[in-house]
Amino acid sequence: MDGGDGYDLLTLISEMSQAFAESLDIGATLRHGLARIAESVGAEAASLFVVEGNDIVCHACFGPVEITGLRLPLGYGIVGRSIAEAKTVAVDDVRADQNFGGHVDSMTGFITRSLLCAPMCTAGRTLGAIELINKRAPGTVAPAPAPTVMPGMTMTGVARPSAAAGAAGAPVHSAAFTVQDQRALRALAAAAALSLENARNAKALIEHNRLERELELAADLQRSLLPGPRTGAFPVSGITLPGRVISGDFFDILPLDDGRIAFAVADVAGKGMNAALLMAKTCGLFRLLAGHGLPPGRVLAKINDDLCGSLVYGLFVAMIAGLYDPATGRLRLVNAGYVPPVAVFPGVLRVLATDLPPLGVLPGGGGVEGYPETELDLSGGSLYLVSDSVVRLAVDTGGVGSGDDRGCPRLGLEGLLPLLHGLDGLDTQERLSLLLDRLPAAEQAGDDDLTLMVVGQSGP
Amino acid sequence: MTKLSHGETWQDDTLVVTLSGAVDIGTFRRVRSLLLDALDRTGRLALDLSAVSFLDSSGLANLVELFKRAAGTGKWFRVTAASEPVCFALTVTRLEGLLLAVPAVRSATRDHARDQA
Repeated sequence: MDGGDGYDLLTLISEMSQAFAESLDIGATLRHGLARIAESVGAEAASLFVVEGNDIVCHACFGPVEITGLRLPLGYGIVGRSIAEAKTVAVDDVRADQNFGGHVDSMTGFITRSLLCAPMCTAGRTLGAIELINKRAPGTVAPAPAPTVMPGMTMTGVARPSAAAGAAGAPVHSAAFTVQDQRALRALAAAAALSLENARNAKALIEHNRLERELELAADLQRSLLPGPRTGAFPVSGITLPGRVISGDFFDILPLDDGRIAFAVADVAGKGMNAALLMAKTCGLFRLLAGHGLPPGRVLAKINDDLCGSLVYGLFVAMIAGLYDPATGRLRLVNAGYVPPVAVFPGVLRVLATDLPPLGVLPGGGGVEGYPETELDLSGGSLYLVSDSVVRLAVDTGGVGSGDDRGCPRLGLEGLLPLLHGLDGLDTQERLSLLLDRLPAAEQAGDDDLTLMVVGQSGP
Repeated sequence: MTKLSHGETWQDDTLVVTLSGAVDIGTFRRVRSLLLDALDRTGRLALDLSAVSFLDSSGLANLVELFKRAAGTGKWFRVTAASEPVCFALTVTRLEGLLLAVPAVRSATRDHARDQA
């Protein structure tokens, strides 16, 4: 279709759309597209501006002056108006237009006479605009572009007269941009907008994938912090099911040289990376302190002092630390804001309540002696520790998430107690598996991490 | 997206901020900035959480940060009314002693009892 302007609009549009669709280098394709449309339309120069924050930045240009990198305030000049109103603007004589800024002209010596500017729009968003400058009268020969390179120019840049032949003062017989020129430019602007949007999405996807890989590495590291599986029966076992890739829950089991076993379960406030980092720190502190045989009351007091001095955003750690002697059955433990553990003896259940808030909230709570410990003879019995996600589990079947965000009853500590009966006679690992099976929809605690631990010799 | 709304009233020299909806990881930043801003404007801040449907550990962290900030600047901050899910979350973590004003426990217990009736 030749609209009488000496070029075939349909061929031009299809060529440019094709070029953008196949583009691997968005910058090169934009430059090529600008040159192609400027030549077809017979424009002396062309430039493409993209919105970046409160500025518009020239990403590609064609013609006697090079303004790639030029940064102008959003809303500046005719291009700014085109972007603000998301409309194509044609100006036959810029001197008569109040929107014309003239900054580029005064910087480069170029003389702008007529302008055609089309916005680059995607659904509901204007990404920038493309402008064609100085339509040549039919029969005028195009001067060869001799770009003046002015990298990193801004509004505050020093004005430099262009050395380009045919720019300042060169007689150019100008004509008005036609309706067909407007159609061609709008088509190019639409293709360029889609292409820019695609390039941005591709970049975001790459970044997303990179973060995902980092997250997986963090999850690997986190798993390595948990005690590995043991072969054969052991008097302390734990399990954590992370609600997300990385977890804010942890447990640890440290066999000491004298035969006693230090253990801990903890639940870090918050979710995601900040919880994971805090979990790694708490885990490290516990290993260091409990590994040297420090009693649980002093271990937690020291961790509390450290966390109170370093935590931000109100983060805190609910944690139980204990020390168990399998030879005597003696158990010492401290509970800082964790769900009360339950001691199970034949025919008797005992909930070990606490008044201690989580770690990282009240500085200096433990004093020199550390927090007061609960002492217990666990001979013939077991101690069960469960995270709050367990007591929050919804009691109806087939549900996802905790009871309180779905408005249905939760398991609660009362609901947990009956599930702890009849687990004796098994080793600790088997008891945990069986308990996990008994929990309602335990594999679907929503985003919550779920942790179980059992301490105690297998029953008679 | 988690829904949350908030309101403010003054009772004498106490600024009462009311939150309703979910106070969780999805609203963490918003709750944080609105509560810290409220604490900047008063020496006594009361929080009405009687219309909060869900409070997770991120929401608890919001409250703990406010508690620590208030304690550090000699200001008074308490949760003065709490829904049953809020009471549950505070009780499980043993934070109720620090954060709940005593009448809030009573009122929440009463509401709960009424709901059960």
